[in-house]
Amino acid sequence: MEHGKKIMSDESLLVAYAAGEVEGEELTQFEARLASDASLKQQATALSDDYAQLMNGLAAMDKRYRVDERRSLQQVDALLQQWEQEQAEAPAPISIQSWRPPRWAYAAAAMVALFVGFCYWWANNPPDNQVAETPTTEPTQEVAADNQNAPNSDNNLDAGPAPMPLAFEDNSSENSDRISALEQDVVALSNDQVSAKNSSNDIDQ
Amino acid sequence: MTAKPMDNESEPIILSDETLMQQLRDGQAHAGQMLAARYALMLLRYLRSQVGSEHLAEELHQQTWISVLEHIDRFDPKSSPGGFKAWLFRIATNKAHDHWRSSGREKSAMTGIGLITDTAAPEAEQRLEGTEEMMKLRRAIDSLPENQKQVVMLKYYSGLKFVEIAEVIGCPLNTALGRMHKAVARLRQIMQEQPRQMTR
Repeated sequence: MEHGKKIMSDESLLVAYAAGEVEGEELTQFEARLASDASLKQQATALSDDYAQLMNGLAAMDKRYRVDERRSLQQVDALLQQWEQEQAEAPAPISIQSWRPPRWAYAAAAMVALFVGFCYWWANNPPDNQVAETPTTEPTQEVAADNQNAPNSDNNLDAGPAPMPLAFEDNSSENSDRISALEQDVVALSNDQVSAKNSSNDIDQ
Repeated sequence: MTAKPMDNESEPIILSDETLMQQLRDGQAHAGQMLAARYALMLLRYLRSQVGSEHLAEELHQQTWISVLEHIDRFDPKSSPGGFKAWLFRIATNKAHDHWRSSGREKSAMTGIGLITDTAAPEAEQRLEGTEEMMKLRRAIDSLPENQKQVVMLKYYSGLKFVEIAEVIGCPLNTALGRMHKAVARLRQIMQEQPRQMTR
């Protein structure tokens, strides 16, 4: 049998044999079985006869019926002409395939995305040595905040809050001086507050 | 499949169904005309046997070709062992099924495959030629279950191999062969009720 299909039962094999569709090795094997099996041989002969009679009977029956092939073909021809005209008039369909980028573009896009992501990460996470060189802003901010929280103090700082140093600016010596001065001011302010509190306690007593 | 000679009669160009389908896909209607001419007679007779009316057979033939054009991109000769012919008969079979469904099963039960309806009846002069054996065969075929009848008709009219018929009707090869075996056995039984043989 063609196309690699295997006929499983004897009934099916007999029909295929009657129709002349058993071929090759399968035919050789089946004919060997027919030679050795009288019953199978009888079945094959009977079925082949019946099959041939059926086909002959259908042919005789079919001849009696008229079909107008010409008229049908004219109808199909008209249909095809109309279809050809529609095909010619219709705008060329935009193929989805043409819009699909090549495969390498996906890899390139992924690499670009990774690169952009790395750059973003690198910008927000500078290397350690750069961080070490950058003066920390936390003390300055704390001092400035303290100054702002005590605007009505008797020992108000005339200078006001120290300007915030910009991060990553390399002015560490200037900042250190300023921080030292501010620390001294804070200590003095604290001492003043303690003494003022003590004096008020004395008055109350 | 032999093709019709084309422009130059001294050197006929043999075009396969698949080549013509490719040309048709490219928008060349003449390729479709050649294909239609190649299979019109057998397809019309097959449809005639299915619906029992010449007029309906022509209508379904046209509908079959409309479907061919609508689904022309779906035809893949590599995945179809029967090629274009099997594909065409599968579409025609589906059209016949659609007709049965739309017209109702009771009508189908009355007319069988339509061979004895008024519209299907042969002309008067043809009727005179009809033999009793032929009428008996017709009735015997009518009495077959639909799936067996379908295999018998496809085999006779399309000339496809059973493996291709199995593909057309969407069943395993052994099922198609088994149906044919049962149909032949049933027809033999009916015909043996009368001593005379089938029409030769």
